[in-house]
Amino acid sequence: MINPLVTLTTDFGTRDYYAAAVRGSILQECPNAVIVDITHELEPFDLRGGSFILWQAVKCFPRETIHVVVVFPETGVERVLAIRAGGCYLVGPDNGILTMAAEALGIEEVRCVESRAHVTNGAKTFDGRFLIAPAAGRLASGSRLEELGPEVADFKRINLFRAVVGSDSVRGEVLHIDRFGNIVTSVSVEDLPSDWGGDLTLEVKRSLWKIKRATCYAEGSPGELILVGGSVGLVEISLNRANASSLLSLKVGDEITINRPQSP
Amino acid sequence: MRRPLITLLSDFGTRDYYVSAMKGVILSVLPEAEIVDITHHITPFSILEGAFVLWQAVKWFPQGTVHVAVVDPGVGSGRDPIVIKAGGHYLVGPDNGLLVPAAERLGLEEVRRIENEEFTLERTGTFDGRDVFAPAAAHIARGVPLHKVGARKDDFIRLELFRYETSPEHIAGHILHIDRFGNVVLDVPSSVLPSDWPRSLIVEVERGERFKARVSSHYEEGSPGELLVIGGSSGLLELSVNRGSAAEAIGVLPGQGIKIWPSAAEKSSEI
Repeated sequence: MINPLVTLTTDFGTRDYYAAAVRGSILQECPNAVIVDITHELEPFDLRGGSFILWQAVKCFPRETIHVVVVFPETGVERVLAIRAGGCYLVGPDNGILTMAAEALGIEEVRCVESRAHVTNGAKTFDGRFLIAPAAGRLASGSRLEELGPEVADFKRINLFRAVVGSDSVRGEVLHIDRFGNIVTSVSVEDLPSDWGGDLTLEVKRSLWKIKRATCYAEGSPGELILVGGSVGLVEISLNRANASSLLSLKVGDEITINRPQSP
Repeated sequence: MRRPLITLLSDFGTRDYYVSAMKGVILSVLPEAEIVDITHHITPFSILEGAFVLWQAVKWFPQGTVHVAVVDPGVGSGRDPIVIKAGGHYLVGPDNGLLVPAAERLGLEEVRRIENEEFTLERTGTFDGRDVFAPAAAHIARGVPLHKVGARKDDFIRLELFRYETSPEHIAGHILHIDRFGNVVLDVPSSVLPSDWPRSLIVEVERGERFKARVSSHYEEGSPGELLVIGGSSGLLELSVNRGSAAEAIGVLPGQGIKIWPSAAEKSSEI
């Protein structure tokens, strides 16, 4: 028999007991669950970052995986959703964080988790432990989605993939900066016309940079900015073995524009 | 029956989706796999540090374990993805030297290129950890024989961790690693320290500054702030400060050189 697979995405960090409490609650409901951390190091309350990481990760997991997300700017106020999408489940707050991943998988059914059977002291400060984890654990141990609560049609959504494609330029924004300083943009690989040639210009904060199209990070010469189609189909701004985000002083949400080369 | 064991080591950190992507791919191929993280906090692009931590860790795992290591600045370029069979273990990763010291420690048997697309995903060019190493490792852990993975490769890139030199007067080594406690691990086996040297030593760092140090058998032995030379748990010499950071005390970084010789003061007092 295959053990049920549960993933965790939170802003809890790894120094407190919070992530362990969520794991413990899941294992209480489903002792043979296999739990994989996506990350616990989201910036506190970072719904955009959480949406993005979850959207990237879910595609790599098999059907029937249960993805648990706890990023709760307003714990105790926001509803908790359980979504069936593309043969997987997502359980987390109704603040938009689940929807990009759910839509990528293909939303089938959305329910609002009602059961508060596990609340022991009435505290509403830790819905991850008292509401989300038990619901995920019950799904893992074989409960059906409809047992968790009523179906809902209206829920919050987040969409990060904004790009404006013009005839001479493509405008987008910084979605994420990874550990290596690669700048992941909201521009998809298909947004960037393939007939624009290899040498383009990048406009950030009113300064212009030369940038070269490449197929992998190692193609850049030292100090040379490159545009790479990243592992999730989005355009990344990178430097070979160096940190592009420090060079350009970019942060998440900043606007970037890629310009087609001027004809001579 | 034991579940197939797969270890992971990388410079991916734990804030991005990279590690979970590899785990998701492994569990898609082999749901019963047991995955153990060695670390994901190797300094970005530091093949030497990754090779060293892998070398330290592998011997604690049972035969049959598949170790996946990804410190891969050359991803997407011409470098081959490889699998090495060594001492009944398997090591999967890039052909950039990362796997070689660990494989030699276990007993290197054969190296093969990962070629058969039956055991990999479509390559995007920037993430072989997810597209090549994770699925190939899962298939190998599932029992796929290596000859089906790809052809033998004998011209793989080697990497030597231990480049120390000794003379009757001194030991010259390099800093391989600084651990969480600030212990400075050298590329010098503990057995190299002559038993007839006095307990008082001089340690010289690369910029020329010298420090007094004392040979000790354990971290607790030093008085606060005292620099110790200890035979560490990996069988290598370490510089340590009791409940302090030796790396901060002497101001050093991985890769730098260190010289050690007997303290003349001690010698003269013995006469």
